[in-house]
Amino acid sequence: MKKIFVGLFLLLVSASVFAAAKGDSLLLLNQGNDLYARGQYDKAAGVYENLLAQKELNASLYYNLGDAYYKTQRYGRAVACFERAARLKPRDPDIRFNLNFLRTFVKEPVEPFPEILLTSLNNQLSLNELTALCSVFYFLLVLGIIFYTLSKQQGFLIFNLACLLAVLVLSGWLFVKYDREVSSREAIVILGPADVRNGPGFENSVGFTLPEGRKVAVLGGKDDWAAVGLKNEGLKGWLEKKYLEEI
Amino acid sequence: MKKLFFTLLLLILSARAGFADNIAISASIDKNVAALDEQIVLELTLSGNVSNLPNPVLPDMSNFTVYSSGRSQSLSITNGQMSSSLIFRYTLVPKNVGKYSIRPITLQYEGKTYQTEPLQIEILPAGRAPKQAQAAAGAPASTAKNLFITAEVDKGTAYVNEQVVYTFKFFRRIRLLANPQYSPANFTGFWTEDTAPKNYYSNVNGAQYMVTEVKTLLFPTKPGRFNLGAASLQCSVQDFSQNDPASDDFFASFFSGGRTQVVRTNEVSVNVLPLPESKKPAGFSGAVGQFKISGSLDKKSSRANEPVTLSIVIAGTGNIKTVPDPGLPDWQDFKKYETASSLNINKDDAALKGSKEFKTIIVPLTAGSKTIKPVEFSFFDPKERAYRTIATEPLPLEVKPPAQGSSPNLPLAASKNEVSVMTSDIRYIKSPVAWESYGGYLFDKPWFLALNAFPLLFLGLFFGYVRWQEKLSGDVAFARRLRASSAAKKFLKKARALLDAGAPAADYYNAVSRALLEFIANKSNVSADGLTTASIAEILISKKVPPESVNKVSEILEECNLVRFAPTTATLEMMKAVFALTGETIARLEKEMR
Repeated sequence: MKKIFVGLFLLLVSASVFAAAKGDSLLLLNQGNDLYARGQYDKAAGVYENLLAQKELNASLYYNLGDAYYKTQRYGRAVACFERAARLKPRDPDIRFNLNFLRTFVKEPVEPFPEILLTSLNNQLSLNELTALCSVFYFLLVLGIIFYTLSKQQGFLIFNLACLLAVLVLSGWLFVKYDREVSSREAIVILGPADVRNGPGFENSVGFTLPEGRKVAVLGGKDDWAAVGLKNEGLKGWLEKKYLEEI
Repeated sequence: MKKLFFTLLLLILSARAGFADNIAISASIDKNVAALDEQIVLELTLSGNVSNLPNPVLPDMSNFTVYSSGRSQSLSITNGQMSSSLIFRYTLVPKNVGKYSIRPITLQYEGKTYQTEPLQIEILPAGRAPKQAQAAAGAPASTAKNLFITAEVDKGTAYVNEQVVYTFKFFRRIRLLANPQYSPANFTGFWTEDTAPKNYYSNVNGAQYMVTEVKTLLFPTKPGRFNLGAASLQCSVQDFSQNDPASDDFFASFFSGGRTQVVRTNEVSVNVLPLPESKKPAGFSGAVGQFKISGSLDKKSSRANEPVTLSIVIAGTGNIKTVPDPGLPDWQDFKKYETASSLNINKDDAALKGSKEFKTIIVPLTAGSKTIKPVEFSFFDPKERAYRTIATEPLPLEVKPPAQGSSPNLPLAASKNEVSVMTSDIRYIKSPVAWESYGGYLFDKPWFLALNAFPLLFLGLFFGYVRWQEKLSGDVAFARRLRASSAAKKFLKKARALLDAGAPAADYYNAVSRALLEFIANKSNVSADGLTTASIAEILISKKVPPESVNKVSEILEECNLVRFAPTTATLEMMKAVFALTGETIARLEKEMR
């Protein structure tokens, strides 16, 4: 009994600490928003960056920081921010709009049609939502198996099959999304034009240049250099890491 | 899905933007070599698939006097795509001898600059032009003035926006050293249109003069009396003054081999009358002159939802530039799009003439025999001093039902009632009411992983339980074996109760033997009834129970039988001892009977 009390107490304390942190974050975000509203975009960006540095983040923060970066002509960083915000809240129309606006602005090439279809499907759920949904169907499947075993009713069998199918499809999708967003890293060129060389070092020749704001795949790295690839153009090369910001 | 459409739209728009820039500009001159007293015609051609071509910017041409001498425009709409070409004509009058280069003429459109190639012109001295120079040399009469200028207007009284021709003439019969500098009269209060100057010879009072005539077309913008003042001309002439000191029209300013002479015109004035207020038509918009109106459609028959181009041409004499869009009446059966206009101007014969064409795309909404109602245009005719209203003929249009699956094709900018996007920018920052904290990936959280492990664990336990239940219900021997211990305990408990209650010893021993018998019977799945001490020993030996345990069992059973069936008295100590021994034996058998 005593243990339960101690446990409850700890829970309450931690919850109140959590709430305090939340309140502060909101306060800071609003501070940044006030600065933004007064046209002090540089200072607003600083406030948002501070919040990020404290590991206090959410989609709105990334979105606002992206706006502040855009207003201070740091287009590459802005793209990175909107990409991150879109990963947290993929169905938010404002985030999607700004991301597309900036992609057009930095002349990101339009993806081929099947890719657009796949991407827009992939963007219907965030990684966590997909994980949770997968988990829910898995719970339902387990419950269904138990009920079927107990009652032997045909209905539960169909229910179980549907749940199994859902789990399989969703986990497949989760795998693809995980591969896109977690395993294979993407980065945005934040300083442009950036010289991409044919090897990790200045002694190598420049293969091509990348404009600010372009999204590239990070294929590997060596010291201060990152191997980057452009899928659409079929290009590959080495770029100094300071030019890149990983999403 | 919405995003997908948006992306597609962007794709289409960007594709459109890709070929929207088809603007071409070119310039040409009628001759590359000209004499100082000749004129050069510069023709500038613009073409593009946009309706409102901007005006070009002429470079600094300080070595020439530039007169605009008209423009002509053609406009066509094909498949909803507007294309237009526009020709500007300028007359250049050289000021000095030499080789000149006209720098590129530029045109700004949507942030892009288009420009022509530079043009080279060589200006020779005026003497190279054969006939004129010879004629001028033969001018004798010393009594007449060597040079003078005149100004006149063709009418002293005019209505607002009625054309008044201001004619400036420069008479000379001596050689000019350089082209003169002209200071025009004060044209404040007038819309002016300059025309190309004309050169000819004229006989005044028996003397042959070279005449340069410049006509300026004036359109009064408001009523009142306007004094245009005098125009003046500053000339550099060969010095004849020492021979002719009585000459009345010179200023004593001497140069080596030439002098500057300033001449002035008479002052002229124009009385501008307001347009009469009486009988002013409702749709009158200020046009003064003589005009005609005509209308036409680009096709006689169409389908519903398919665009038709309606052209209305207003042509005539007057300030055609200021003629506004006649405005189409509201038609319920048609949807109208923005009107594009093109202008053709001709300034020959000292009158501003031309035509203005208004092209409007209309889309019939329903099928049937339609008639485009007359479009009216009102103007004031200064000759008849009356307002006139003219209208187009009604235009028939046969509209067939729409083609399968067609929807109104929106080729041009939307009409006034629709949204027009000015600039697109990023959307404004968000101000959330609550802070939604994001804590990282769900699958990295230990609690989430534990939560997901739970169903599997539970499922395992559940199936174990199900298997257990199945075994119990299917295997009697197994069930009895399981129940053996608890059944034995039940009898032992009963025996204990009997002992505590001080019941007869026979009953007590019966209960104790019963506990042991039930246990062994359950364990070996046989009936407890009819078991003898010998058969029990046999069973126990077959179950590989060690002999000392078997002996113990036999001992207990024999002691019980002795008390039950023989008149032996059992002491309390004995009873307690047998109880403890039975308990121990059962516990031992529990382990030994497999």
